[in-house]
Amino acid sequence: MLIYSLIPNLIILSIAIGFPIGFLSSYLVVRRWSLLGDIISHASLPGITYSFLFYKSNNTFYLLIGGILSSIVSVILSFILQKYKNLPKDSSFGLVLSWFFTFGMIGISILQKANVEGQYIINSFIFGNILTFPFKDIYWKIFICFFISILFLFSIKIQKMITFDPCFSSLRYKYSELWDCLLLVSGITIICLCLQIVGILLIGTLIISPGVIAKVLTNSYGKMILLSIFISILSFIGGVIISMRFTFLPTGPLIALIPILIAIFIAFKRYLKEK
Amino acid sequence: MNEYRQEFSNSFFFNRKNALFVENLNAKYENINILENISFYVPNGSLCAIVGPNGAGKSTLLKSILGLHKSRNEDILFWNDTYSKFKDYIAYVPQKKSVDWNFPINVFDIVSSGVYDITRKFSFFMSYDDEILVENAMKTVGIEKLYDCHINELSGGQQQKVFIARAFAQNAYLYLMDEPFAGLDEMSMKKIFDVFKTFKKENRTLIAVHHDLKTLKDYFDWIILIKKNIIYFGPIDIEGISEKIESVFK
Amino acid sequence: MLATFYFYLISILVVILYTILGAITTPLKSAFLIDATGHTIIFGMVIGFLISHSFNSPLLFIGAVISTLLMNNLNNFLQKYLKLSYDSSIGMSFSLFFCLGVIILSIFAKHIHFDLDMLLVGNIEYSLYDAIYIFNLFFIPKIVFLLIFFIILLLYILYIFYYQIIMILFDSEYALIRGIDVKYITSIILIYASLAIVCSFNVTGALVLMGIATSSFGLYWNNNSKSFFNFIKKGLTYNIIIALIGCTLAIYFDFPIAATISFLSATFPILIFIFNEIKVFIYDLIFIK
Repeated sequence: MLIYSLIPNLIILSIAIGFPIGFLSSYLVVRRWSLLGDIISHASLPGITYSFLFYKSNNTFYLLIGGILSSIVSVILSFILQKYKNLPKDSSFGLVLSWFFTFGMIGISILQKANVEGQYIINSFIFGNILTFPFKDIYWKIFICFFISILFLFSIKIQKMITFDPCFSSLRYKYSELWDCLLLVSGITIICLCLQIVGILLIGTLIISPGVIAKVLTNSYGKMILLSIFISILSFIGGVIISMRFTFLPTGPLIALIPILIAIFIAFKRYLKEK
Repeated sequence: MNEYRQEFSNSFFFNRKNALFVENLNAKYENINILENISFYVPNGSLCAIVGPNGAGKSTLLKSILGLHKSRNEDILFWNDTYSKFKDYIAYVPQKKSVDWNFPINVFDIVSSGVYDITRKFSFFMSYDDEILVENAMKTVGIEKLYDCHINELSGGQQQKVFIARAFAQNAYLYLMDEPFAGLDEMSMKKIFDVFKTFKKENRTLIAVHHDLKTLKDYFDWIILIKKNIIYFGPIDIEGISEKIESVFK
Repeated sequence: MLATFYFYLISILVVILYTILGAITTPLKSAFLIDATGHTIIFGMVIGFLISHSFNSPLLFIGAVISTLLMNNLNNFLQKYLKLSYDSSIGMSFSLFFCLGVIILSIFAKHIHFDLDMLLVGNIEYSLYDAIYIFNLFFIPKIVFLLIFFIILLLYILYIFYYQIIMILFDSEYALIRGIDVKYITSIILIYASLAIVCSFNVTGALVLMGIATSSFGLYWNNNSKSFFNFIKKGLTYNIIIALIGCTLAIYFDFPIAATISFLSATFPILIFIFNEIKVFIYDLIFIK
């Protein structure tokens, strides 16, 4: 009974989170940074672990700030490596991802030896567990999602310009690099907010899939954003409701599974059409 | 040269009439018809140019002939036989190289992959003949001093020469090249074409996509004009060919 | 004492295996193939475990191979019909199997206690228990034999297909034209990778595989090699040294060994890079004003 009373809150949360995830997904896919979602989520682990070790508090606010900071550092590092060391994009992303993630793993083992109370919360970040999501903070989280969606919405034109030709746009428009950073930081924030629902391991796919499916179905950026928002809201609501009905099922995989199944369905339809 | 290649000696190619025969080739790209009803032939020992405007389907034609691009209803014969029989004797230099530029390999190894023989399992050591073939191929295009360089260290034109040398090292009898002279200076172009002229005597055929209309008549003797369909194919040395070429580009 | 020796030996063997495997798979497609395989085999292993109810049955290996092949087919299917880039399609393919594996595990294996950490990070200590005892004093863990077998197998595959593999890695379109059966060799490598990853699962865990394969990123770091053979040799030297240092630190601080090794593997290049940049920055500041 207690659980079912959370459903309206969850649906509002799903819609609120679905919007910025949809925006972020289409932006990253078009910018050809689809792996960035994976890197941001994996790189947030050391921030979460070490801030938990430092503050020894269950307050997820500190954990989130730690996660966001370490993700920002990881993104900066991977771009520096690409620029100054001429490392190919995939290699720099993979290197930074594994470096930060293994650093976080070491932190988890330190935590276990330190025997701090409430370590299970770290597991909920890794695998995602809707039941540990702190609903009392829901209002400011929805506000942040709303603010980030507005940010993405108003910068659609700039996004189009940046993704088409980043060098040209930075020459032409003074603030284009600033917007790039701003959109990335917003993306990092929203990913860290979702971590407790979906989990570090699976949020990477959740960031790629809606944008990728939307890109396949349409050629216009505006329609692509709408489709990707629709798919991500659908995945969140679907995953959350199924997870509430069958509480022994983990939320993260259920949410991440839905867009993949949609993609397979579309590919299958095309396969049949070709036959 | 091992037993596999000796099956087809020089006289075999000398006696065949057409190096390539294509009939009724159709190719699509994402539901758009790029090539429709393509039929032509290229005689043995000719230097053939494929000419057409951008988007005419020249690269697609080469890819479809080699089976890299799906095509329908076609009949493609190499020396009156199927492609799989003469794979080793057909060399291809593509326009866009789908190559891993960071891979640890030097120029000599790239060019020597031209002498690769599928029947050989342990190819650590090349025979003396093959080494001479590779060195000659590199000397022909003028990159013999670059044999120990990584391909990333070379300029665009030098990289193109490496891939042409690889095709030469294959000792093939049919060369399919997609804009092989893009990025090459005029001296190098002339040097490579002198090699093709010697190929003519040995009954080796060249089919190249060429975009420089000024040098067309100097270098080639057979032409295929294409713009989704075959506008004209045949000897380049006929009346009114310049008008035909101009009409394709309108 | 002997246990410590085996920690070092197993770390070195694992590192050798993944350096060579990473050198082959990294240029082959994207860097994430090993990572994706590691996540996919969880599905196969869960199914194998549910059928056989044992952690040591060969069904786990078979399940792992089947799920890798299925993932690869799904990857090709999505790439072909949705025209996706390699990264996106492999991300979605392995996530499908990973999600299904985790869901099935939570449905059917609720009552079974399994160590989450072992899944994530691996635990070399456990692998030492499964050993062959000689004279009740001296023992050799079975995993040592398995790892040596897989390394020899990989070297043998590399020996048979050396030239073909180099051509496929450098220019796969050209290799196809020259008659090399790219699909056949690629599937051999994939099947091998899935078997090897299952074997070393105990040691590395699912998630640190990426880190161990980071060794191949280290290979690309100062890539001045002009020969694939030297490339592997350099990578092996670097990674074996890292494995020794990492193992020592992990034993001293009581960290998970695989995580420490992969952390160090990436740390040294990044640290050297940062120091270099700081040096250049200070130099510019002082001398160029």
